[in-house]
Amino acid sequence: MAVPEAENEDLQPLAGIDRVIHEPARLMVLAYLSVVESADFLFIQRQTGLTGGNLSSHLTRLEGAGYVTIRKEFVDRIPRTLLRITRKGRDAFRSYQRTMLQVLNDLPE
Amino acid sequence: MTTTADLKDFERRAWRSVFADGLWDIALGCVFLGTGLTMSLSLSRGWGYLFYAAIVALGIAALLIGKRRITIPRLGWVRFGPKGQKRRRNVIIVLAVGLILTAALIPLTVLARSNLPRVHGPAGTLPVLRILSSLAVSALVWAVLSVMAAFWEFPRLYAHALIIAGSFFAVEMLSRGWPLIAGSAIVLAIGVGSLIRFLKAYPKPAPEAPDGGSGS
Repeated sequence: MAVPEAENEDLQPLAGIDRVIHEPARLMVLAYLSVVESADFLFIQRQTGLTGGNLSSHLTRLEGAGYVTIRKEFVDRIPRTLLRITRKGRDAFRSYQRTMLQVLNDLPE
Repeated sequence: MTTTADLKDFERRAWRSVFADGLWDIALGCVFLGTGLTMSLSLSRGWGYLFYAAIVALGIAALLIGKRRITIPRLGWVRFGPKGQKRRRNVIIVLAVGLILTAALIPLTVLARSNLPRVHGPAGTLPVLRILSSLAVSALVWAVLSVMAAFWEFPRLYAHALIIAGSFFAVEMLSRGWPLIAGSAIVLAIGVGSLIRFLKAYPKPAPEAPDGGSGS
């Protein structure tokens, strides 16, 4: 049964929510990347507790959206995957924060 | 995860993980162990400086090599932004102020060794200047290490500040180096304990997937 438009008004901003960020694992990854300048794959994996494959797929999605850059380099002949949030990613993350705060604040107790 | 406070929590967690390996505790313990041993061994001035420099170098080497060979392969690599650099700058300022104040205290401690003015107490006569200089030195050590702990958000350093400050008080009062050796041994033991816990909590990832193979 459809909710009448007037009752649904408070939730309208949710329709425009960024679904790339809205996924909990990606949200956590972006949150960590937003508080550091850059970090490698392992650091983010340790902090988030995600498996390597899982984190890899989420990063591919975030990179596809232009929210993070992924750069490979070698340090002491060991590969290191460097991750950094982009300007676009930071803006999207802030916008997501604002939207969620607004939606949650506007909801009745 | 929608508030600034929560983001600060993420930042704090990421920052504190840098100290989880206990290597800073070990380096700090080595610096004070060097001071205590140099005081106790009654070496000639030249050999004393050399011995002290060797122990401090050992601590710094443990920190640098440990970070590279133990921490980064297990915990990963991170660079903190302007906030991290500000923290580092503040700690350097605190250390510099601490060194200047220590230099200013040297005349007081030298004068205190002469045991000139004494007061009568229940346990006999007490050298006033020695008590004052001991209190001043230990308060300074405590203040410098505590301010460092606050800037660095490194809670264990508060405990180290108390241990080392107490040791310095005993060193000044007794004119012996062993209390500082004992104090720094406790700090070293805490560092080694943290390192063992870190090694258990963060095993080295399999070599075939050092970066999880993020296919990008």
